Amino acid sequence: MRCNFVVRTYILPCAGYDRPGGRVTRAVAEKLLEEFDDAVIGSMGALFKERPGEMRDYRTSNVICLDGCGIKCSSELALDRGRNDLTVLSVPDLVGSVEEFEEKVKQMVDVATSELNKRTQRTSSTVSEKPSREIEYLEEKFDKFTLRVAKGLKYSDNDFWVWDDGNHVRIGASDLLQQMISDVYFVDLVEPGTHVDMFDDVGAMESTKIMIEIIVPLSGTIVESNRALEDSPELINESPYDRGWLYRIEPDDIDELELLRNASDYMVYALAKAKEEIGKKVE
Amino acid sequence: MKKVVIPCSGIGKAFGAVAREATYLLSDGEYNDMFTTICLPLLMTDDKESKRIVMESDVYTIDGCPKKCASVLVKHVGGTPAMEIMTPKVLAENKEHKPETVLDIGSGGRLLADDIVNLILKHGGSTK
Repeated sequence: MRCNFVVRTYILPCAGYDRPGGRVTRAVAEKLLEEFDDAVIGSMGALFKERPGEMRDYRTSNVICLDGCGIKCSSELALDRGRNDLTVLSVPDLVGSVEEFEEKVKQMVDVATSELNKRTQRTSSTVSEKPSREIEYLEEKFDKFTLRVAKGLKYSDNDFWVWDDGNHVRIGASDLLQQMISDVYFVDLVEPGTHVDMFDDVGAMESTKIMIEIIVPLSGTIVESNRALEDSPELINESPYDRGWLYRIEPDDIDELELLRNASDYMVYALAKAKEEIGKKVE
Repeated sequence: MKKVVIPCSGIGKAFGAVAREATYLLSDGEYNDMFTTICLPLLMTDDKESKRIVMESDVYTIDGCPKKCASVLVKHVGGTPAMEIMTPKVLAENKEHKPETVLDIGSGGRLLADDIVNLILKHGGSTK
């Protein structure tokens, strides 16, 4: 499946813990994150392990490496993963003679900002991680986010989706919901066999921002919980409509789906909700 | 020989910031005669000295997400962590110790870092 991604800025600080330069690169990365809406901070560990989400960001973004010492771990690793169009900034080369930590950071940020401003943001097409099924999306931008609503699903006003696979239904959190709650680190799911009524709360998701209850969008008996979320709750953020699903349910009455919103209706609703949440004008 | 604490490289993530805060409390604070840290990326570049330290020392890894980069990299170079700490799981035990943001982990984040420090000290049998 091919999807469109907005090319972003991927900042890879070396993260050298026991080296002064490492601390400078981290501080610079965090400052750049504040200044550039499209910036993401890469993880040396995730890039080393070629984690799919990390590799997608790495491949589709403008890459800027921040090396803290002469070993140049950041740029060496980035080169090793196949890119040769990197912007490399080295603490020893650029600010090695500067004494003050804050001044080092400021000067590095100034150079990085200048480099980044030379680059033109563009949109490219790339191959996404293969989902377990074909999913087509509606996409809209709001503020600095891109909101995706999967076509063919039904949505509740609580921002959970339902997918009817012809046998059972699968439910999960919408892209809007996962973006609002941010990084999920803990998921508490109920056991299969549990009967639920429409809009019951069955389990919870906890993120760095908030703990929310999982509100099922239709009645039925849970036949499977997504156990992969126990070890990898971040799937809810990485793949909300596919690998981050929550429950598979044997519905009591499939006609309940008619009470829910279709994708285009939900997109209108979700954009209004996003606008209200962030208090900014929707583009 | 000092024990080695290695946090994950989760920059831009609150749990990564907590992992580093806990590491610095041990390696730069009052326990710096007992603990040190080494640069995680050096393990990726197969740096001989870092690899030797990991192989010969008690290593404590502090990871911020289930990808467990710190633990995985220690094992990648042949080391065996004496203890693998998963920051979110420590938080799950004490949910009020929640970090705020990556730029300022806040009082909750600092308490979480203290929890991690205490786990390591307890495991290492060394409290001052």
